Amino acid sequence: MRTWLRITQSLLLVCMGGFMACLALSSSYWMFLNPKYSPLTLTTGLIIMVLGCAGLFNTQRKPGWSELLALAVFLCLAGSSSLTLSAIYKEPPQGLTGTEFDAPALSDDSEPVLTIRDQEYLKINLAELLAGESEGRTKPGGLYAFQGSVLRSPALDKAGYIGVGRLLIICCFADAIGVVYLVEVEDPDGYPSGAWVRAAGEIQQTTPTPIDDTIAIAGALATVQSENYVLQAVEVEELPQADMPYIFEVRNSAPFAF
Amino acid sequence: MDAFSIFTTAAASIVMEAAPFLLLGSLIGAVLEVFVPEEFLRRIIPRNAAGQIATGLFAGMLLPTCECGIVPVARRLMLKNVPPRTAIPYMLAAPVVNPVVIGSTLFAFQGDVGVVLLRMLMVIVPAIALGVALGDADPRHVLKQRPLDLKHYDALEEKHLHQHDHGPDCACGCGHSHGEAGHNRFTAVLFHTGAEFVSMARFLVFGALVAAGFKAFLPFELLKVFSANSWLAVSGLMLLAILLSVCSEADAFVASSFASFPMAAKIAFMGIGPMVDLKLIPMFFAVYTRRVAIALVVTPIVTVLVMSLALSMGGW
Repeated sequence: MRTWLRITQSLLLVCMGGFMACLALSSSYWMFLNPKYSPLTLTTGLIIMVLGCAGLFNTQRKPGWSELLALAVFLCLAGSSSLTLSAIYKEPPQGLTGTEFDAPALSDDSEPVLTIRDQEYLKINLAELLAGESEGRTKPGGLYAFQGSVLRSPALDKAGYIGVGRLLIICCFADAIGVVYLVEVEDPDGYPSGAWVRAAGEIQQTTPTPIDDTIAIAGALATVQSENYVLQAVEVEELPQADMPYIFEVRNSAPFAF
Repeated sequence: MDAFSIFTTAAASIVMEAAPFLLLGSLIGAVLEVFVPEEFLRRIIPRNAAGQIATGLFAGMLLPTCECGIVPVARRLMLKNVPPRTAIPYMLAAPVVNPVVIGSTLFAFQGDVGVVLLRMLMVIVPAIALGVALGDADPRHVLKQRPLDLKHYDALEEKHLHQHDHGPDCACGCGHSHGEAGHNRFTAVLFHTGAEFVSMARFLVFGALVAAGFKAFLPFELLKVFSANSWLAVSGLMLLAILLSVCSEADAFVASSFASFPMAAKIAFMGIGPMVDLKLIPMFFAVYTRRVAIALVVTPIVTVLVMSLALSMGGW
């Protein structure tokens, strides 16, 4: 019995390490953790696999049932989350067997501005725009372009706004924070909820805010939105969803991680 | 994104985020166990009580460890007869009093040094309190597992096999062959690391399950109830920190996003989380005696609550 427990634990550890290593090399990693940690996850996965193999020879220690259960539970969580997340996004990534990692999707350094009718709009992500408010960078009259998912509500529709939001991931999905900006548009009904859009326009001061409640984003612990400014849209264009819709990087200066 | 998907993804991500640090803590513990002689630790740790506590408080600046991996390191230190009044303050303070977390807190709060200092105070005060309370406590009275002097390992092996509790969380790796010293020690490190990792990983996984459950199924609107007054705000965010078990590198950004809460409540969130959460509580009860484990949970909660309420009354 002891031998079977030891073999089972070793197998589970090897599977756990193998999953982490494969995930770190796959195009799905960003769904769980900030991509900057992929080398760490890869290294950890490989070491766990080594420990799993070494454990086969540790004949003096009897693995506990709770230890085996925990490893099995993790593998079930990992497997089910990989399957369910792949179904959520309109253009699912290659999955665990894919090796393409679209690092350039994190920022678009080659085009730091968007030009619309000879006017330049600084490309920025929502977290950077909100951070800019507290640092005094974001001011009324500023011309910006950002992207995100459309958020709708009856109160917003009535006020003539849509919300554009994204999840900001510092370390992992569990600490995701929602970041939202209100965008003034002519016809909110023209933008389906959940659609991926790029909004460009001018920052306007608004007091009081168009709606009382903070908009919630699924998966976010809390949501941050501007209490003083909105974007008066010049153009809101529906686009294919970004390869990595989450925000992983917040820069203090241009070029921003659009 | 539906609630089940959020739940499974959050739980898996918590485990994978914490796993490297748990592995590092297990490895450090194993290296301490096998390679670092007790005499060396006795030489570098001050003899007086104040020095021992101070060493524990600021050792995290040299050996930063996430709270996920700190318990095995603290345990190994005490198994080497490092005084509990050094190891316990280190365990409580190191996840916050280290360059990485100080940097992330500064960034999340736009360079506000006051917030950083208050956060450090939130962990230093209970760490000192427990360090003083432990006095000259013997590690044998603090830990469930008895320390083993590896210098006399060969001679004591037979006796150790009988007097030692070889429960599921035993990570002693005893019983390895009496072969050539270098080979034994390398193998011992591997066995120790693996055993410690799987032993602690079960608390990580089950804690992650509960934390992810709260994240996925807790109504967002419930937070508004807690922002009603300072008492509710502080205690509410402290409870949230314990339930969500966010890592100490990211919790500053999470805290800063609670815009409707007073600063005192946000500091309480950042102070209590690295010391007490759903991953750490079962680890404490597995590693320490019942009295010490209860003290490790209650003391930080009470001190952080009192200090945060005082801050709140002071206008923070």
